[in-house]
Amino acid sequence: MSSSREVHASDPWWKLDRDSARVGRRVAGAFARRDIQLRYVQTRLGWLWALIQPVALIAGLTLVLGRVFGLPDEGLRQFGLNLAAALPGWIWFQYIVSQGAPSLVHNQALVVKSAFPRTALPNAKAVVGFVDFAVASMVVGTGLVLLDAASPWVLLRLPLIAVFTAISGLGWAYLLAAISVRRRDVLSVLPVALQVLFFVSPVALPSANFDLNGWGLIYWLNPAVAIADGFRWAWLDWSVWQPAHALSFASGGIIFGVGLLSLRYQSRRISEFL
Amino acid sequence: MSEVRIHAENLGKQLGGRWALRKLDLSVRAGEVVGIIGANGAGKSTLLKTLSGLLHPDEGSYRIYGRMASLLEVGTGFHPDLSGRENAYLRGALLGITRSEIQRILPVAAEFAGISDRLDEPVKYYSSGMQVRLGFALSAHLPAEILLVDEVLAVGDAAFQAKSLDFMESHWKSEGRSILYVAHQLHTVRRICDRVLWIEGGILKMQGPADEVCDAYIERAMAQTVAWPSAAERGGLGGIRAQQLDVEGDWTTGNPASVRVVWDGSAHGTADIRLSVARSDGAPLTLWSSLQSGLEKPAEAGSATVRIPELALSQGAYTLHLRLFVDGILHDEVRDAAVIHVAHGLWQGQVYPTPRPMALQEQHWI
Repeated sequence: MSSSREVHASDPWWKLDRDSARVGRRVAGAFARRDIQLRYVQTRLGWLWALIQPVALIAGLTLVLGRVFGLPDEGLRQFGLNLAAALPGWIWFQYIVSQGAPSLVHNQALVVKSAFPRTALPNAKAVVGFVDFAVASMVVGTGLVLLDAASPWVLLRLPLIAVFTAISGLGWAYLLAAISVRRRDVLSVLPVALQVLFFVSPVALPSANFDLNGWGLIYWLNPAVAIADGFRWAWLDWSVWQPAHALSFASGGIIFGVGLLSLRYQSRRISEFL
Repeated sequence: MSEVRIHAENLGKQLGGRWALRKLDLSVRAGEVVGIIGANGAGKSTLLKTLSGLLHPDEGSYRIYGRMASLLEVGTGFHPDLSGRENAYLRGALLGITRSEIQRILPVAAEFAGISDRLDEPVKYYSSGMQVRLGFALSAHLPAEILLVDEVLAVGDAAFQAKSLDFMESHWKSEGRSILYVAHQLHTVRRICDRVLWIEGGILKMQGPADEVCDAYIERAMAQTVAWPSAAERGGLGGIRAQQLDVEGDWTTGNPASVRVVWDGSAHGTADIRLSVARSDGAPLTLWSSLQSGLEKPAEAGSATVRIPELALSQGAYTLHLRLFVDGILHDEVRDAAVIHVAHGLWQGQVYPTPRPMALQEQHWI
């Protein structure tokens, strides 16, 4: 027999059997594929948009903000590099959170009738976001090589920060998805919260150097700080690290654990609530 | 004995503070079709949801040996912008089935659903009937050893329903698949199920051969006294309302029988008193109509009696649905107005060995 499943009332809620994990991978793959196929349906330029978007964003933000701050040419170059290195990673992170968190509610009809592991839906969004991230990274990489600004270590460092981006994004997506089953409110607040997060994270702005107390502590608990500075380290070999970055990494890791367990806990009750 | 596919012990599930399912033992073997019957809210769907993994049991345990496909999701979960083919892959993924396996069954399933030529069109251009047919066809052809079926056959047109039933009977059984089938229509249960579980209030009340359990279930449903809903809860215009219905005679096949209906009210026109005779599962068998048989009764308060010279119903239990019309307009409707038990008797001098309640017919063979 190809598979068998044994369920006891006393099974701990965090348990996930091997078959379910396999189903989860298949579902995530199928959903990612679906999203990617539908992404640029009914657009004239199709896949070109994946190239145009990062270029336009980086160029636009650099020119507009550079003018606002009245930067000289050298400053403009630094500002552009600072932004180009961090932006694709940030976009991926916010895509995972903003699309992953409502994914259970959006696929309600399927979720209440099919018992696949619930993490599959946010995971699919992470894969979809990764495609955009990969395209944007190739654009950025090409630009940095032309400007002679790319670090020689980039291929070693980039995967490390990319993995952390996925983990911390998924952590928030899992947690918010688990809460959204009972309280949809979180989904209404989310777009605003992510907008605010963009401005308090060092994405368009350079790395900050706050003390570890009061508002500074809250600043360092933001995983996007480690993401943005991490990509600068990876792409540009800038010396961004401070001891406080450890806090930012730890917060991303902890949220991943908390989110995963929350979603697994809620999974047993999802078809009662949705 | 063939191998066990589903084995549940002492299974229980609490929903909203009460036990929706309690102390259920269940065993389904390869090639067996097991039906589940019971009133709404008896715990049938809770059982299926628990076994499919959507709900976690609060008590007991179960084991599933083999791949399980659930037909709970027929007709839902299609993405409108994707083609039928892409949706099929998605559906397969939900059950852990690979693209290549789906590719193998897809031509057959599409053929069954009658949409072979439109498989690569977006599902949004399908009619709702086509979507349902594709949903059923896909699930029915999936390479799974166990199927959980929840009233899927209530969907689609009559021809497709018949085709689906035939398919379940001929393919699933012969391929040694195990099916757990929940339905309200007892005649389908009798037709395809080897064994039936009757669940009441979350507890297994009876299990055994399909006909035995279905008969007991009907008897129980019949034994409950028939209370008419109040006039305000009933359908129709309400100008006249039925007051009373008397069943007279010995109600034996081939013997005379009669039913008297009393009503009051003040509508003007010609009344038509209609009694439709249905099987206990709701399937209508025949109609007795005062107007059609030539009685032009004024609609004001009155009574009418239908006399049946030779009762053309086989042994079994039936329900009467009463409707009062005035000049073609419905004024009152009482579903399940009475239950009649027809005793065994001769029909045209012959014994008709019908295992189920059905209408008989005067006939001449040459």
